[in-house]
Formats: sequence, structure tokens, C-alpha cells
Amino acid sequence: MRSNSTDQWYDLSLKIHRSYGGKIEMIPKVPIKSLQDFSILYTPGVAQPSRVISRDPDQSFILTSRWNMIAVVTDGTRVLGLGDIGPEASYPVMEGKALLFKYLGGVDAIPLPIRARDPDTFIDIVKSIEPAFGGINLEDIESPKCFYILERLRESLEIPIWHDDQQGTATAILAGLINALKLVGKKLNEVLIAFIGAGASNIATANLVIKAGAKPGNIIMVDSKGILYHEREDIDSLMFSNRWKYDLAIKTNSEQRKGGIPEALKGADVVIAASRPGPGIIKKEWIRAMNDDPIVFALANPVPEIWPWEAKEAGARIIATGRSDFPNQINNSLVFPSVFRGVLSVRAKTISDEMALEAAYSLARFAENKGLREDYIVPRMDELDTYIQVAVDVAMKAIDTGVARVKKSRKDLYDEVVRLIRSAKSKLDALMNMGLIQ
Amino acid sequence: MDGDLVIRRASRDDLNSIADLVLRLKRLNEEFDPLYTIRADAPEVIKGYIESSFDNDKIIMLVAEYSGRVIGFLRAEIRSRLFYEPPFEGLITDLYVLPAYRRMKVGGALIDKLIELLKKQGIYLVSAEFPPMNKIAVEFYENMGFKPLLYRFFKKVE
Repeated sequence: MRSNSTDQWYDLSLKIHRSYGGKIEMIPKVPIKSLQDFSILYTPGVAQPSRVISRDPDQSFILTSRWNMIAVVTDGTRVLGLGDIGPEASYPVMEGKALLFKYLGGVDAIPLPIRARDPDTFIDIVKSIEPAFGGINLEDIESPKCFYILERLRESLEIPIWHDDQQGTATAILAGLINALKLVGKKLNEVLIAFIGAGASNIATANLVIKAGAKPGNIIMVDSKGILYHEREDIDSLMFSNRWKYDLAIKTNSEQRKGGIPEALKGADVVIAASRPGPGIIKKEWIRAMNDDPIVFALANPVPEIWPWEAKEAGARIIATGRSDFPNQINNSLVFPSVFRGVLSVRAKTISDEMALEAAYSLARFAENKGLREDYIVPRMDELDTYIQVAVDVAMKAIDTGVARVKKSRKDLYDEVVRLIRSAKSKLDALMNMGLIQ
Repeated sequence: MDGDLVIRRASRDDLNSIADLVLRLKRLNEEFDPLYTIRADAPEVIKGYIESSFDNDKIIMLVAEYSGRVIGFLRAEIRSRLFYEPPFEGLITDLYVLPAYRRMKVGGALIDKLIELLKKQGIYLVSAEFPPMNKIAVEFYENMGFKPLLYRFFKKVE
């Protein structure tokens, strides 16, 4: 189902992309007053920073743009809800992501769709581009390949690597869940959580929610074949085809519940659905069969698994979706700009699970400080201060856990983050005011 | 793993539990190659296979029991090696542990018990057969100190 307004977005977007020829460009950040400056910015002068870096490659984080530069890398195998549309077709999405990185996080991001379907080839390519970047954001790679790629690259790279569809989404969901539970007065380590869908985001979310304190046995996961349990007939083949789903099948669902979505929801306190576009994937009567004060995250795009008003009518207390036109938008755009702002500012070697947890707690705190309501469990995307707070908290966590190469005080970090995030916006504003961007 | 794990010889009372484990094992092989496609009558055939194994003194069948439930199974055949030393081997034809009880050294315990029984019969060689695509089995046996010693190639002829 496509609403009229969505169609309008599609048309307008195509027009904008055509008339601007994409959305980002690169411009120098040093003053250039005469051609003589090139002797400093380029050869012969540039040989000196090169010499310094050749003696100590870490100097590349100080003498070049690398410290603030990341790549947004994809193989184009699972782009939005469009599926396997190839690297070229993924470019608008990667470019849009790069734009958000700059505008919301002050991070320079290069869109990098690559023709590499084979996971090991993909891994080799990313490893080989490490010298150019301070971090890597993986995007729109199909599951379960994405788990393997992230795992291997996390082991082998000395710069932070993040798969936004897994970790970004998981972090945003956890933030929302923490606050939703506060509102209904329940505890994470006591609730029964049903996950509908076992793709990249729900597998990552289940793992993060467990790290945050949920009991694995109290999690019920449903994939296209029904509820996962450790003696399901296809379990041994899962061990080979999707080790990550297999691991969850073993440790979740301690009661060995069987069936489909309705059975999974029975008595559940929370449902987190990231399956396929609705409506009608989750039915009202199934929400009615949940425990008191149901929390319903229906995150499929463009149409949630159940319309928010239907969930409400069925007794849902708190409802979140992935859409900006409904309250409680669970969106990884709340997470990735600040996480990368934080890790780049302290030159972190990795983004650990503790740092992802900290990002979730920080996001949750931000909304809580503003005042939680049933229709306000996570910050809205236009609350720009949230990016500053989360970036600083993530960076401090990197310092505290020993993965930061550079240590800074909270105050210095805060000033730097504010300056970098604001400067991206002020530069754009200035160019727009001068008519250079219109 | 606590003291609840018992490794013992299989008895006829275990038949149904064992048949379920063996069926799971054969189904897994189905993933690897069309030549491992399970026959429709496999469940009955498996029962017959296990039952007849009880009557054969060249076959050793062990179960792993956890809190009274059979959660793992091993079947081995004693075979003579006509041309080589040592002259006998205990060939593991089936080894399966339920997913929830993996990574607890149940498979290792079954093999240790098998080796103990083989030694009592003067047999000092143990082997195992499984599809080469089963990388998890390859890793498992390598970790147990096994090495590949035999290729078996297949070709379907029309």
C-alpha cells in the first residue's frame, strides 16, 4: 500500500536528484589565496607530511583528513525494502547517508558502493581501504552475510566498523524499549519479549537487549518458519546457513514455545516487529492476548506490521514505528551520526558493544530528561542536542574502556563536538545565504 | 556441564530417542548434497537400522543422557583392515548431540567412552565418516586429534 503522500515524496526526490546531480560534493577546508599556496598544499611541500607519516602511520590521523573521514560501504544486496538492486542503485541511499553524517554529526562520509557480492572479497576490499579512513559504516548488506562481514572486519580492522542496519537499529530500539518499560513500570530482566522477524536488525537487537540485561530465555523469536526453538526441525541446517540465528534459537525461548506470531505474542510484555510491510502482519486480537500494558514496536517500512491506531484499539499502551509521521519514530538516524562523531573525536579503535549500550542509554536519558510520555519515548530527529550528548557519552565510554587513542576531558570533547556539528550546519547556511547553494 | 551427564551403552528402551537423533543427523546431511536426499521411509528404516545394530557384536552404540533424557548418540562399527596395521578400526558411523547440549563436550565424552571400550577389545584405531561439506564435523574431529585418511568419491551414472 502506497499512500499519496509517499508517491509525492518519490516524485519530488527524483526531481531533486536529477536537478542537483546527487546531493554532496567535496570542497577544500583550507584557504587558497593564490596558486603559490599549491606549493604548500601540494607538491613540493606535501612531501614533508608524507615523510612524517611514513615514519609513523598514526600521524595520518593528525596530518590528513582521515581523522574525520569514513566510508559508507555497501554491496547493494539489501537496499531499503527494495532488496538486491545492485551497487549503482544503492548510491542515492549511501549518498543520503553521507549527507546525514555531515549535517547531523559533522562527519565527512564517502559513499562507496562496491561490486563485491562474495563476502570474503568484500572483506578484503574493506581491509585494503582502511588507510584512507577513520571508520567504516556498512550499509544495506543482506543477512546473514552481514553478520559474517561485520564479525571478520571487527576482528581485523584497527578503525571502528559499524553495520548500521544491525547496530544502529538495535541501539535505537533499545533506547525506546528502556523508556517504554519505565513508563509501564516493568523491568528489562523480567519482561517477555517477542521478536517478529529474524533479520539483521532483530538478531542484533535481541543480542543487544540481552547485553542490556534481558533474560535470553524470556525472548521469543519468530522467523518466516515460525517460533525459533532449539529442537526445531531445521535447526541443524541453520547452524550452517545462519549461525547467528542458530545461536539465538539455542539460548532463547526457555519454555520451548512453538507456533507462529499469535503464539509468540501470548502473554508477552513487548513485541518488537521488524519483519515485512503491513498492515495485518500483526492482528488486533493477538495484541489483546499480550500481557497488561503491551509495548508494541512495529518497525516495518513503509507500512508498519500493524497500524498504530489498530494497536491502540487493541490495548497497546506504547506504540513505536519506523515512520516520522507517527509518534515514537525508532530511527537509526538518531544513532549513527553521534556514534561516529564520538568515536572519531577520540580516534577509537572499535565500537564495542559497551559503547553501543552507552549510546542507547544516552538516547534514553535525553528523552527522559525532556519528560517521558507514551508518545515520546525517544528523542525526535530535529532535537539536535541529542546528537551532541550521545557523541560525547560514546566518546567518554571509549576513553573509559581503553579503546580511545586520544584522551580528552568531557568539557573539551563537548566543545569539539559542538563546534564540528554546528560548523557543518553554519557552512551550509552560509553557502545558502550567498546563493551558492539554492 | 555438571554431574548430570551420563555416558552409557544404549539399550532397547532408548530406541525411539535414538531414532529421533539419527533422523536429525540424516536430515542435516540433506543440506549438503542432493545425493543425501532423505528417503520417504527413512524414519522406519532408521528404527530397523538401530534395532539390528543391537544384535550385532561388531557394533557399539552409546548414548549421552542428561537429567534422564537421551540427548546424544554414537554408533560405531568394528571393521577389519585387511592390508594394514593396526588390523581393526572402530568406525563412527553416526554421532549426534541435540543443539541445546552442544559446546559442552558431550561429543568428546561419547568418543572417549568409545575409545575406552575399543581398547578393551584390543582395538587401537578409531575413525569417523561424514560428508566433507560438514565443516563443523571436520573442525570437531580435528580438535579431537583425528586426521583425514581416506577419500570416498561419488558419481551418479545414468
